[in-house]
Amino acid sequence: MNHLTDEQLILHFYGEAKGSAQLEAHLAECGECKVQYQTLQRLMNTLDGTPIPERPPDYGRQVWNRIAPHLGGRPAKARPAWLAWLNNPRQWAVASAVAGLVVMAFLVGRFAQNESNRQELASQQQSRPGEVRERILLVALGEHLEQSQMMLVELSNAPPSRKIDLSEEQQRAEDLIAANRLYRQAALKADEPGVASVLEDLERTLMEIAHAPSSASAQELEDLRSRMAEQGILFKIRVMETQVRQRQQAGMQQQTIGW
Amino acid sequence: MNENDGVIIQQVLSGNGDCFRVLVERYSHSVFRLAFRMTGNESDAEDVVQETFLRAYRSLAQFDSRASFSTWLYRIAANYSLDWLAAKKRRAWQQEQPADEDQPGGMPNVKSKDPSVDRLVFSGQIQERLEGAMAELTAQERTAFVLRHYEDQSIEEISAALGVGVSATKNSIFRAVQKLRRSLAPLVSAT
Repeated sequence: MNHLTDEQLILHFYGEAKGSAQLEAHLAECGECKVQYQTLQRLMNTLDGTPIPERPPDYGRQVWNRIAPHLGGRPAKARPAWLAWLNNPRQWAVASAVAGLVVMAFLVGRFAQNESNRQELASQQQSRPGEVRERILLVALGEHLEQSQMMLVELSNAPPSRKIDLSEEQQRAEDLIAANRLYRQAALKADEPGVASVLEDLERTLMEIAHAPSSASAQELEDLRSRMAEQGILFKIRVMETQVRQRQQAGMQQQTIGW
Repeated sequence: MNENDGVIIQQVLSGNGDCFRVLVERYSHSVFRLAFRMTGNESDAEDVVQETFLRAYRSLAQFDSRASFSTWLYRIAANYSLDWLAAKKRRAWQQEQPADEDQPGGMPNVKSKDPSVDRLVFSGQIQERLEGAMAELTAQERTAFVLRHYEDQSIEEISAALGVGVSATKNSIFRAVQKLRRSLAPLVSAT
């Protein structure tokens, strides 16, 4: 048997090596590996001696006293699976891809239809002012998402310092909140609950920025970033912006085909 | 799982939030030990302990009652410590400031007014080297190593906690041990 590798020795030390009996047998026979293993054991034993500051016997009670005021009511109920699914960025990516395919399939269908009924569709398009309104709304929504995304990215990448002046971002957040409310209401009226839900998340984040202290500490900024990361808000906005742009393009293609 | 943990969790979920106190009192010491090994200083470890229990409480309904509560709790603590380490590293890098001299961000720099026998026995020279070596570990290496070496969690449990594969976890542990050995080898072989 060859000499044991570092990995084998480490795993053996932790009792996670495969063929432990064979390794033991080898260590009993091979002086070189035995020395290696003993050195590793000494290292590990030395690490075990690392001191940990002692906590008082009533430490648990102290921790409880600190956290109890922050616990609020009973813990949140388990989120339904579909909600957990929505909050998983990978699933969003899959959903986005599927949505893209659906849009493509839809367009292919429309294209085929247009090929056979071009004249008829052209006249229908002219009599659909609602579609024009929808395209304008999509353009405006796309820009709103882009501006929001830009601000959140800037905030995420702001260099931390002891005090950060957020007043400019707060002014932008206030403006974006007003616009966001309008888009969210429009989305609800248009029976687009997915869009409305993302806009609601965005609104919450914008409100948090707008109501933060204008001179935030590095820790407060870090907390804000953590919450943004937890909610995956940037990712959701990017996905939605992509979808909005796709719908814009789809609308333009239909218009071109119609013409 | 401690067989009482499951009963307590059910009571908390039924609306008796005060029962959570039992879990806090039961696991505070061990969560502190883990947090201290991860963060390297008392005050940050205290923050991790507090945040760990708050997060555990808020997501208690997601806890799988078939699993071990302490493992689940350590997972929360380890992940929060990972975020904390990453944020600290980012801040230090962006501020271009050296790590706090009193708390080098590595292993504990304990300044006790009443040193225990263990602390006296533990050589100051080894301690100093160990701090430097731990500071060189990446956040993932440190977490994997602390969970394996000090918390006695299996490699599979650690990979689940970190959300990485078993081989990535093994590699993190190997690299951590190799780095520690490089730093401490001269001292260890002399003991």
